[in-house]
Amino acid sequence: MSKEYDERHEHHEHHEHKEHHKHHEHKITIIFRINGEDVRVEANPNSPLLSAISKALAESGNTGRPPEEWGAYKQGSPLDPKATIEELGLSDGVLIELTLKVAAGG
Amino acid sequence: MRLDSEVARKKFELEVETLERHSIGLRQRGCWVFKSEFPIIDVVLVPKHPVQLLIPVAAPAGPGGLNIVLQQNPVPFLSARAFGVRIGLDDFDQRAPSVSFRDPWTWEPLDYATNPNCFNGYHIDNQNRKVPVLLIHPESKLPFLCMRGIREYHEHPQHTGDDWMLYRGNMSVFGLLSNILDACIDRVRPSLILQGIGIACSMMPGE
Repeated sequence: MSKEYDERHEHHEHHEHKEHHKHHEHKITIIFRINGEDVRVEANPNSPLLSAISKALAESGNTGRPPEEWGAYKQGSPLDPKATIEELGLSDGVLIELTLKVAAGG
Repeated sequence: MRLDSEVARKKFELEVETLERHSIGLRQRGCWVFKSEFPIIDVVLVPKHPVQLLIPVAAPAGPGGLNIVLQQNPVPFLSARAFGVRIGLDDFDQRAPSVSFRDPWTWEPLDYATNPNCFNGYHIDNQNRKVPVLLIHPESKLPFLCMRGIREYHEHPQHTGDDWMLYRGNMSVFGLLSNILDACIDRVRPSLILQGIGIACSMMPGE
């Protein structure tokens, strides 16, 4: 094989590796507002929102109830915690309010 | 009193400080803190959704015969009346905050007998059903929110198994107000339904 081919191939592999690495490394910051206190959490867009919720609750010391019992809201609209951050279209610096579910009406 | 009054006062001040810090966000959701004087916080909630006029119209007949559907006509310049909410923090947080609905002009308790359909509340449960949460309390006979985090729920004879102590570390007045706004403002659609020659008023559940 020619030297030119080797160089191009090497360059291509390097670029692919960088892109692959970037895809996995890219994280966004989500601001969770819990009982009026803001907690910043770094999250992978490919992970479910629930994992970021769990992290925020642990960091803020709100560990009295399991993460599944908390509701997540963006500007008053509920979010599905099982969906990934990317699927929910959440961008860097988004503000999400967490409130304990009220299990009401009985 | 279950709690030392100085401790209760300090806890009250912390809750009021949090509400003040988020006053802009609360106003954007239709919530104004009117007065905070230990142990009471009075807030005014202003409904935002326009009234919808529901007119029964005939739709194409199905297999069962004539089909009537309600055509929705929003009236953008009309909405429901504002109402007051009084949050009582006596003995907080040994006891859950007390919540009562008030006339924002006089701050007298609102009741359903004299003010039918003036406000309502809904909650979306795990099966995505809209559940009414504004019920009549068996002891006070006044409307109350049947939701966790509220004294009238935890001290209700049917909820003695769901003690406030299980939740108190994870609940605040700010979170409580968020839940009230969600149930009583965001999820309620004031509706006028044409029925024959009359009009029925209802606070129906929304999305």
